[in-house]
Amino acid sequence: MMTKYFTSAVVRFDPLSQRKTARIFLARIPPTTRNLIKIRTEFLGKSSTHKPLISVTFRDGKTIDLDPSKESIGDVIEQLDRHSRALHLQEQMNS
Amino acid sequence: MLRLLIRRLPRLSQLAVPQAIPSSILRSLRAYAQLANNVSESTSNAAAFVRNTVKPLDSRKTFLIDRYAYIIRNRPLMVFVQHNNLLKSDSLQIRNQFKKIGVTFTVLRVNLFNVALRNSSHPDPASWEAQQMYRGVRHPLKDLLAGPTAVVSFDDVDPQKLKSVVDVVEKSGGRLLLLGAWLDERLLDREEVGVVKNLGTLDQLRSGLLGVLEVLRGAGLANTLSSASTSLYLTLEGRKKQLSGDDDAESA
Repeated sequence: MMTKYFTSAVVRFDPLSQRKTARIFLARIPPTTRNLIKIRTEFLGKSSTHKPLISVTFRDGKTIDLDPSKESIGDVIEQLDRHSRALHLQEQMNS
Repeated sequence: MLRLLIRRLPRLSQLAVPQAIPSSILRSLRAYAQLANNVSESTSNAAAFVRNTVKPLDSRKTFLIDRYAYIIRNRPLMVFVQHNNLLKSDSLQIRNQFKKIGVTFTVLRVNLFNVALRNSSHPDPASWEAQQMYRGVRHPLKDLLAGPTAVVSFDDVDPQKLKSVVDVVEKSGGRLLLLGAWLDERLLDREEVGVVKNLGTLDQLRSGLLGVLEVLRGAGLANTLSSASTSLYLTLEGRKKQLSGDDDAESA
């Protein structure tokens, strides 16, 4: 997963949901970027009405929202990397 | 294989060089073959006591299943946390903090922990028999175990310790995330863990209960409950005094 162009991420999930997409996503973010990417983790309980969410904001301001209860970690990474690659290409063109 | 070879050895030697070998050597060879046969039979008897495990007995998987089953059986309180990409230094720091509190931090291999959970009521959780017996059984804790998980296991149920563990997890800056806990054969979610950590110890709770009883019933109920033990104490004390009084009388 290309995390270079992330500026912040919101991850909302239910620990008892048996789905591991959100949890693997959190574990995939490298420890060296801990100060660079702002990560907010929210937990869903029995009483909460919110839906699970992975929301990533990129350097150019674009935000991608994904539902970890429906998508696998591979799909999530693919969709995020698609935009990261576009940003990477743009950066190389400008330089 | 070896046994067969040894058994055939005398015959082979007869075939190859029938005249050259003296009978005394042949006899000793046969005696050796007999001995080897006996030894291998006795080891096969011993093999009946060897555990029949799914994975090889000396494999890491069998070892880990045994270790996890030990934790599950002997630890009254387990707290499950997610670990996010811990650096070596982070891991050391976190482990040191947990060691100071007096709890153990174990990073799990989730699938093996699931096996240990499912088979933990069997005497040998790593065995073929356990695998057959508990096939398809679903343990309630399995919901928590998806992705990178670690367990913090407690020797005793102490809300004070639980509170300091939750503090360590919360102050880890996203390195650890609290998922839930297992207490008294029950799965606790994050909110319930928050409630349990603010309880006092069992002794404090008992004295609190006594206080409530005294307030409600004007000490009557508490007195009634304690009357049996009080009267026993008085009887024993009286008997003790009587005995020591006899001793005094004798010595005087």
